[in-house]
Amino acid sequence: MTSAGEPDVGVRVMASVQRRRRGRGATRTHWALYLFPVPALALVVAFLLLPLVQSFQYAATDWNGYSATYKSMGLDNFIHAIFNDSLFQNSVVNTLKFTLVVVIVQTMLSLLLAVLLVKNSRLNIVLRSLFFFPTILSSVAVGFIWAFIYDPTFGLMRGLFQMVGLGALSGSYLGDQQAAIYWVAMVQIWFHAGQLMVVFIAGLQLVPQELYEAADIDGAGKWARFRSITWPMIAPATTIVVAYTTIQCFKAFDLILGIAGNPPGTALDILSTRIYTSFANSQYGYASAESIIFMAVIGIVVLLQRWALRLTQARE
Amino acid sequence: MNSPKFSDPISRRNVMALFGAGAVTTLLAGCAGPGSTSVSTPAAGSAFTGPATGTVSFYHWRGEDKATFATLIDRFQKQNPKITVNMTITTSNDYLANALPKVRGGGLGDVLPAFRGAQFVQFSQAGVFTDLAGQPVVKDYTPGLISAGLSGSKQDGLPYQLLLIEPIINEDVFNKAGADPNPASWDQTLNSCDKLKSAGYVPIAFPGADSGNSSQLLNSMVLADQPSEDAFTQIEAGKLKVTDDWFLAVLKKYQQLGPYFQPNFLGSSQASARQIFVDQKAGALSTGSYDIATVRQLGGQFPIGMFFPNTLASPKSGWYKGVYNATFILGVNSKSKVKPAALKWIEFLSQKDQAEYYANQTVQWLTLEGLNYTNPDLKKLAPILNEKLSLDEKFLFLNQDIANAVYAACNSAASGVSVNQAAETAQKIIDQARSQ
Repeated sequence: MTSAGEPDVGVRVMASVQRRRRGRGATRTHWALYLFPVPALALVVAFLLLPLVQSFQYAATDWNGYSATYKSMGLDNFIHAIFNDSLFQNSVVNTLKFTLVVVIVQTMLSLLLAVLLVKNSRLNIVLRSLFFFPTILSSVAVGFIWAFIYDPTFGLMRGLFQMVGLGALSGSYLGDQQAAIYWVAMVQIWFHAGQLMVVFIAGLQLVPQELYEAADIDGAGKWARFRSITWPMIAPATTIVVAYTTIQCFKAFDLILGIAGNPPGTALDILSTRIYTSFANSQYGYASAESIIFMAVIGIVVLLQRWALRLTQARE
Repeated sequence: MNSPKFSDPISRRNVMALFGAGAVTTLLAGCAGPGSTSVSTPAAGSAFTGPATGTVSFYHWRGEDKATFATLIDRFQKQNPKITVNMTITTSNDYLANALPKVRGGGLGDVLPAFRGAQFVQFSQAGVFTDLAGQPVVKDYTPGLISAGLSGSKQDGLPYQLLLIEPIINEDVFNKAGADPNPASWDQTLNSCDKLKSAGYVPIAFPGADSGNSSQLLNSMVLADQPSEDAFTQIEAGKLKVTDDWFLAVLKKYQQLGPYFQPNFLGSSQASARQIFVDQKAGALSTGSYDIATVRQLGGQFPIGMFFPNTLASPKSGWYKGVYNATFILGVNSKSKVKPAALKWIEFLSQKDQAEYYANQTVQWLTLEGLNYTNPDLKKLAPILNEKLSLDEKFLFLNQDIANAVYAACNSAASGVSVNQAAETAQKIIDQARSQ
């Protein structure tokens, strides 16, 4: 028996079933839908996760890449690479020098080109295509071309220096132990500045014109407009450019091998080429440890960059 | 109990558990120990039974011999219509660095060469080659020259090419400058260079940016001062050091020779140094006889000779007249599925007519017996092979980092860096490489 105002038992049961069904519907998906990501997951597991796990495992051994046996090394490979291997340390320093120069100069140059060529005039479109052109070349081809340009006897660079009366500055370029990495950094900048200019142009074209009009009314100069409007508004594009350039620098493997040959000398040995040399030297275990350190270095550098860019945004 | 239907919903938790189980299984599979592939080498003889048919992959680094090999492949395929030879060529540096992982599966390189020294040892240890001992083709080769293809008692490969590893010279330039191409001592070597320089030539075009080619000179430079012929092996074993007096003496000689290389030589590639030589601006090119064919192709019409930089303090009778190497060690891949056909291709390359064609076209002597060399350069220079020659010693280095450290020390000394500093830098790298 039910009192007045209380719902009937049948009604309560129905409501309970409906709630349960609603609940089920909200938490359950048709099982066949879960099959859709399986191919992608399988690829990630097979070609990313599995090699990554194996790298950690190999890094703890002295495996030479072909023997049936190996010795467990614990953390010795990591300790040796970080503290006792001057070739590895040299490659870290070279990588950081290369990255620092390329990130700073390439970002500034591509931003400058973007600011100058942002308007869609016919001449600007032609110039954009021209600056973008090197990007479509293969890294190895670029390496070979610049190896000829830097040739100390027949190279174009030597001719250019002599033509402008700076013949004394022409040296051995890629043979110069101190300066070689900067000469290659110049190639990397030539190679990719046009590509990143396009990213900046896309960012610049998204900046609302009203902001510039308001700034004009306020009597802001060109620098004030850039500092207070353009720079903060293109922060997302800058983040992409800096992160992309950094990763590109760490992976400038094919450019280095194209320009300096394999293996490159110590002056041009960056982390990726050093790891490659270790693999070629049948030190798979050690090379795996170097690869893991390489991964950690990239991670740290990218995190630092994100932090620095956030700081800039916060200030703006 | 109801059986599950296609239309039945499945909980997200179950799906995640399924993926989790799959991932853990895969990761555990990933944790299978490295080196789980065993190294096995089939016994000699038995490996080559069966019909000689199929497609043979011929993988090598001699891009400059491509056209000659292509002609030989055509001839071979006409004689053996059931066999096809596919040639894959890469650069020598890439071959040195990457060939092993590529050929281990057997898909590439049914017939493949190895460089003498580190790579041959590496290939043999990895069981890449099939033992050729007892095969009739082995008898076609000069016994004293194929020991570089031995691994213990197994004839893993047959060194095909015979090279002189010392600078090639433009005899016209040497004659004009009055320089002696056969110095009997270090002073006479420097004197020859001095005369060339005084006559306005670059005495030696040196590919300083190419460690593989620039290091060829080390074979000659080390001969008079090394305490034993296996000095490089002992450096790698830690028994000798590059900071020892004998190697400092070698570096000192490099320092004396440096001013006779072209300006800024540390940035010069092999192509650049070779071009200086082809343009007749240099007396010598510091590579080896393997460069003669390319010099001719580039238009070098002058008479070519060899220059052995003698490093003796004073002339000594019975001393070396040069350096040679037997390399391009041809073998059959142990994982090949067409071994009889692969052996047939090596036998074809070893036939007198075909070998002579290859030798004369590519301007290289071969280790086969009784060949008739008709190429004018080969004919002219062949008598040197009968002189007392030292075997190319730099192939004794098995560790690339150690080898490169030694080569870099030599180039640094030549560029003017103090010999002690160059030696100490190299020794530090050697010690670190040894402690790994």
